[in-house]
Amino acid sequence: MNEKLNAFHIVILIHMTQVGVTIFSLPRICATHFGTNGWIAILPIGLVVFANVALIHAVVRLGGGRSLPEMLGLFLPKPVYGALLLGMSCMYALSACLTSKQYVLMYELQSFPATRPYVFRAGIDILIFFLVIIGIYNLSKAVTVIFFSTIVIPFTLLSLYDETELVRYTPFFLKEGTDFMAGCFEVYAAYLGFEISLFLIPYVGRSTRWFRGVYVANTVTTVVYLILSIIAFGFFSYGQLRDMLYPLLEMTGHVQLPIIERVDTLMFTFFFLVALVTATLYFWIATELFSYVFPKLDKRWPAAFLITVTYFVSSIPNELDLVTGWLRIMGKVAIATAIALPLLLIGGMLITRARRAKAS
Amino acid sequence: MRKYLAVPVLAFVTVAASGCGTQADKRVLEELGMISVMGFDLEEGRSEEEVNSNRTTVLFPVINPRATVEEEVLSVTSRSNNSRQELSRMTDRKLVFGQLRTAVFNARIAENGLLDDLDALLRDPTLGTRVKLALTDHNVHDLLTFKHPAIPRIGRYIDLLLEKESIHLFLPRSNLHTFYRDLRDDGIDPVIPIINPSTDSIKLDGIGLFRDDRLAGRVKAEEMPYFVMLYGDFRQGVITVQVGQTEFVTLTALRSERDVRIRRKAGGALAAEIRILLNGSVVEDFGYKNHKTKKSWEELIRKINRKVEEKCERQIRLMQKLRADCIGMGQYARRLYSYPEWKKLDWRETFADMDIRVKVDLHVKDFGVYP
Repeated sequence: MNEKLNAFHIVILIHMTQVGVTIFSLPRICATHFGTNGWIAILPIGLVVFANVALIHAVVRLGGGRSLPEMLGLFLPKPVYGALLLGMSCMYALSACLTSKQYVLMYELQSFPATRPYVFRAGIDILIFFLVIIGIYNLSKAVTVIFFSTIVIPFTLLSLYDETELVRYTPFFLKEGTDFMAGCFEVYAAYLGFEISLFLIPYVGRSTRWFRGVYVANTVTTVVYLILSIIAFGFFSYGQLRDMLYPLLEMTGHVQLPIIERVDTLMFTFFFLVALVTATLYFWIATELFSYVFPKLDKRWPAAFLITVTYFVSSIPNELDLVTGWLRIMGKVAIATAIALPLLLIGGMLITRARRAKAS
Repeated sequence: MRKYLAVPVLAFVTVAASGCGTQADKRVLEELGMISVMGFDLEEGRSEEEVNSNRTTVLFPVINPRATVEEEVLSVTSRSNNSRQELSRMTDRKLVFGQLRTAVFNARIAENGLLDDLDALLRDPTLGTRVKLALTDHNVHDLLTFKHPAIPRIGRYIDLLLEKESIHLFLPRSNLHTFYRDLRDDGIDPVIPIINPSTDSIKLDGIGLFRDDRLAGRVKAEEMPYFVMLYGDFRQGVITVQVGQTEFVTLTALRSERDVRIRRKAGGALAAEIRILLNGSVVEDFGYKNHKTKKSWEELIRKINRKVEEKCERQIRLMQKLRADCIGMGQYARRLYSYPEWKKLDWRETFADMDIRVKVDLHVKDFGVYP
């Protein structure tokens, strides 16, 4: 009998998947798209995400312990849902690879401007491969370690309290925003990762109580995002915030430790783990989806295959802006999936249930 | 068997990772020129056709034990920001900017706008935004080659000078971050301290007041404490106040807290009151008069209050004349307006016409041990 994931691990797993490379730019996204005091938009978007999570919760309850392909198999013919699963698999694999690519490009910008990214990325991809094949239970243990080594970062930022000023927030709310909808999409995308709960079903116990962990994870993420953005809006002036690429990195640059100068470069290496976890878990989802379609295959093969293919695909965009653009598109596709897939499942299962009731 | 497969794979990863840092990104400490100060001078074109150019001076510590100097200074003239390549051709060391602590600008550059020159510093990801900024009226190259037996390393000296003064907040903290922050805030203008060489040392010589990114005026060295009281809170300061013809009082261990109250008068004009709460001890009463009674002490405090208020108000008049709101009155005034009103408002003019009063409240903790 396999070991089961408990709620605590689920909280950490999902929180760490949610927090990815977007966290670096989140306050700036809020400032440019929502305008003055844009941090406040995180709250309503967080609530919408909660509704989305509730949707997945409904799926899990309706499914009664069935895994995703079993649920789809109830109302869709095999070739159709097979294609659907493969499509999703590609999407998640590509998102994962772009996440790690974005991090590598940022790392180049920050520390190694002359190093060629492909070697570095290959190293990361090998690491991801080894993490993916150890299975979700062991993975969750690794993620727990990473969680505890990075969760301190938002709290070290609290030491910037001295340099934040109330008057800098300005009394104006959501003025000067450029594109409200684009902002909503980007912040929503920063929450993505909760959909991993759909794929965890075979790895948890029979009861659906584990799902509370997903809500808790979402709350933790909202709190982290809020702390970060609230500090950023008081620490930087509004105009300044709009002009900078990565406010989070700037802020860590101002955290002073007694012995180390320029902590930001050190912190940035810690953030590597955050990006790594997000990429790894997305690859894990992709591998899961792949092996639903080809259940007899050893999971190492789809993992290796997906990682290799996406490695080359994501080599195409080479500029930071372009990668960010691709990620933004992938984000939209992923949001659509996160909403449409549960709806499809709920609809399908309800119809099947109604038909069965009629037949009997 | 499978376990053993991990060994060659790990070996491969290690080799790949070590090859990851190419020669270009390799940095050997002894071979680096870690620039600690950068300076910018304005060199005016001699003829009509010749455009003005900047002279960039950099200074970095020499890590060779056999070298007779502690710091090396390099300097080039260039019209754009390509000075870095030229500088690197002048030395055997690899110049890196990650340890840059201070950037010094000639005041004439600042008068024409600093943003162009700061842009290169802000954009560079290897630089932190805690790089301190300073202005000087003298030639920056001369300032950085200032020789004094007690100052072996001028770069470190300047850094510590600015650091020490801003820790006690007797000088507003001024670095790339604060400058750009205040520049892009519509309710405050930035400030940068001025340092100048004197016969014995390099000293802090006032505060440059900016209107946007242009130097508009300055606070004189002796007026700095009063400006800082208006600017924000400070934790430990010293001021000497002349209260009578011959009487001077020195206050130490001074803490100040600023409280801004701003309101709209009936006609729509603004009125502000800046309350400054001072807390300190009297250590020197020059032109000694014996203040034995409580009444005479109170009289003295009242005199000090009035004197400080006067000095502060003079600073405000100066800023109003310059149309430079360096103490951030706009940040407080914003809340009195709706968003469209604020955007339509010409804040500089409103600030200049504003009625700003200063009210000082001194609390003397003690009068020294021989009161």
